[in-house]
Amino acid sequence: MGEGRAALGTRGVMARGPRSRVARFAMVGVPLAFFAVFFAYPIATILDRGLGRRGRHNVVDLLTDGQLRSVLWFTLWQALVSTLLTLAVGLPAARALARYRFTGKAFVRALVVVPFALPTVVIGSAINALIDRFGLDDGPVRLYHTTWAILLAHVIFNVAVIVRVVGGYWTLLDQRVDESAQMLGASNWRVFVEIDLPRLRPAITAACAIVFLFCFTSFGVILLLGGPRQATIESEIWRYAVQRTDFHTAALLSAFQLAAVIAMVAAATLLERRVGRLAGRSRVAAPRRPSTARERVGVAAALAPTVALVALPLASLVERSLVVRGGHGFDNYRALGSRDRASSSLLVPPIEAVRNSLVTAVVATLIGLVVGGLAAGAIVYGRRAVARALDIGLMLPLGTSAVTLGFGFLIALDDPPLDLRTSWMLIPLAQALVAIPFVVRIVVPALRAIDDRLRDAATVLGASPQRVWRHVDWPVAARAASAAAAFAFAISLGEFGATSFLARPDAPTIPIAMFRLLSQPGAALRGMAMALAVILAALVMLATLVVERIRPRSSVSL
Amino acid sequence: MTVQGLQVRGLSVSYDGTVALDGVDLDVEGGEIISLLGPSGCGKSTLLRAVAGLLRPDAGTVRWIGRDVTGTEPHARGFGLMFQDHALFPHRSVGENIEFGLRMQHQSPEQRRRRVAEMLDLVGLDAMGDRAIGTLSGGEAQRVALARSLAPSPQLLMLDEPFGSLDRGLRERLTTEVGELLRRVGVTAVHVTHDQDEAFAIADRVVVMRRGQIERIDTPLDIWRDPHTEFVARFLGHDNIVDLPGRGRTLIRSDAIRIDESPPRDGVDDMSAGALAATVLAQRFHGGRYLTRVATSLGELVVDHARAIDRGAVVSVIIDFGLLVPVSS
Repeated sequence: MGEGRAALGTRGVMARGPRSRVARFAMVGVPLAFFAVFFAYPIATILDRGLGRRGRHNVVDLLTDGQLRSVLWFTLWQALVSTLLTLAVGLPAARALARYRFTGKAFVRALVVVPFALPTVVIGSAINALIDRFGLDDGPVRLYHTTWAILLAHVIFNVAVIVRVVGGYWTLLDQRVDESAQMLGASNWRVFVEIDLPRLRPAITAACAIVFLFCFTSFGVILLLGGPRQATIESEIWRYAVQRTDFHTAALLSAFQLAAVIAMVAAATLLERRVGRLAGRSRVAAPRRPSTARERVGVAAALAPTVALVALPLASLVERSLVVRGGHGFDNYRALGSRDRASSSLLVPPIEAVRNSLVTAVVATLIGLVVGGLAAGAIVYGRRAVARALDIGLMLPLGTSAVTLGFGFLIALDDPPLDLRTSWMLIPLAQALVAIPFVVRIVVPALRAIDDRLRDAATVLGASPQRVWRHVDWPVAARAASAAAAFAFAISLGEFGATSFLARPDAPTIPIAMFRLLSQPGAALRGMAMALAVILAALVMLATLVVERIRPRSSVSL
Repeated sequence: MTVQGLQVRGLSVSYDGTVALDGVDLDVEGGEIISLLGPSGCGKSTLLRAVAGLLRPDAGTVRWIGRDVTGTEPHARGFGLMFQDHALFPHRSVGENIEFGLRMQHQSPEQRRRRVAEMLDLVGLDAMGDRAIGTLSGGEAQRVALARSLAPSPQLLMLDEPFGSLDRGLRERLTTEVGELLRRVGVTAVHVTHDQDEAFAIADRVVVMRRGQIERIDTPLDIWRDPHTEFVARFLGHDNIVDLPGRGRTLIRSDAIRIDESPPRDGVDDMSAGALAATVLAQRFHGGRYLTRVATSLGELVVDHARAIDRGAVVSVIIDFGLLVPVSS
């Protein structure tokens, strides 16, 4: 009797999950092999090329070469300013959404996160559309090829992080602490500065770290909006590798970028640890309706910048895609099917890009699902040491910029033993690599959330381990996997950083086609790019909606 | 006549169509401590929050010493409020918590230092000014919260279920202590609780609330002795409310009833002696005595008794008819 109970209570050690040896071996072996070949090997190749002494530039040049130094400097300060601006715009909106209830709140909440779900090339196109719509390419308010355009895009893209992370945390803060301060004589402003801000520090730190990282490694936005002077490490890696075929300098920059990202993640982790985690005990007060006219105006003013920044460019994008000579119509969409109109930028009709994107995304999703799903299984059911190693290891591609991954594929997988240079599989493989961390992050929490007592109950009722897996774990896993698949599909559709290194001229994906169309002058090409952007946005939103519908609770937010 | 204290008139609050407070009038004299008592959802906390200004009433006025403060921001009212879970600022030390209100009043550092020391001394936490909030025990946190709300010398102090999160023994000790302290300081106080013992221990007058309205206002003793309504009687913990022939609905207080272990003569009720024949149904050991449930011709009664009696035993229940009070249902 006592023995039986002990066995039921045992966790981890092969007590749960699939029993077969093959399955257990595959769960660990497949992700490890994939990770070794498609992540570790390319990264090692970059480090070897970049830090070897064969190139034109070496490590010291990063600090002494004027041009490289200005690239590092610009990368750093644009990320910093973008983060501060995003915080300034997002914080009031976060407060309004956390503390108040009002008509249309659900809509505002959903609207704010739309840009974050969209590919960066769509945001870049939306800013371009905004520039077209309001004539900002010249005149007193010039956005075209300015740093402002980049900062604006970064704010639009990232404001969701501030609103959701900080706002979510804000709703968990005990409102009576604020009320205590109010009763002790603190005005609303002083309550915010002296009571809310210090308590929000963990959330603000975490959110700002994420935003800074995104802006530091921003690529699509820089390529689409920046002029010659707005060059970041990422865009320079691409320029050196793709335009100048100076792989050594590109590898050097990549190595530096890797080191910088690792250092930033480490710093953020340290900072977050020092700032402290979410206070355990908190009583959640329901948001209330603003009760005075002043409060209503305050809430509206807090939300207005965020809503305008998000809604205006997206609306401009849709409108711009419909602009034709002398009015509005669907000509830009119709033109996607013709080869001639876009021939100066593309070797194929733009509509081909949609087909390529869909096929690539399906394959990438399958790869991501198989590898990520197996890894999730290993993390949940495997031995503790293996689980930890995989858990951390599979997050690394997430911290590595997509540009670095794409560049690594380009230089590592182009000669024996693995010559995939001419294989179209390179693109889905790279996109799968980007998607796998998200798949793992969605499936693992779902499996972990299954109450062990359910498994125990099923076992006591006579279910074999296989049947326990099939009846308890599998339904949850299948649901999580579907959500993860939709997520991977969305990521793959919009992936630009890695794909820009790997796409062949005759087989562009939608983001690549958009970029090519936008980099040539001409209103017709621009119109087609906008039409493609709208199609891409629609596809991604559809996939995201599927994720929202079927995503299990308690998995990753955002 | 101007009331030297709080004057609430016709105060109404509703949340999304549900009436939480329904035209409440209340006067609190300067220096008086009153307890708002009632079951959850009766509107007592809503009344407190409306007086504090944390909630805007749909109708009615709140006056303080004759001055209408209904539209005044909460931070400008000069009132103090102490919450159930203390709501201490987690990122500040004990001393900084107490100092907060003084800083809001722009007191000099020297004034603040002196006042903080004085408050720490008052609540018996000398030398704990530098402690972090997270290191405090429940009782200590409670004292800090009290010191913090008293430090800026509020004209009116409100306490929202201040002892709700403490365990029983500590709660009883602190209730007495805080009551004495409030009287010593001489502050006007409105205290919200659902615990009648706590209300009786601390209040000059008790306000019993029900469904957004005030059911009864009186001193603890008067309310306990004559609750007027069955709702108030039950809420105060009176067990025995019966229909007496010729008297209607009647409360038999615990001081009006006792057990005599010998059965009445002939085993039947002897109304002239106030003795009822009773069969013991069950006993519960409570506070060193036995709460004894008996069946009588008036129905089941609960009577406090010093000794254990066998279940099923027939005893006498002696009622002092002179102490009975009628209640309306």
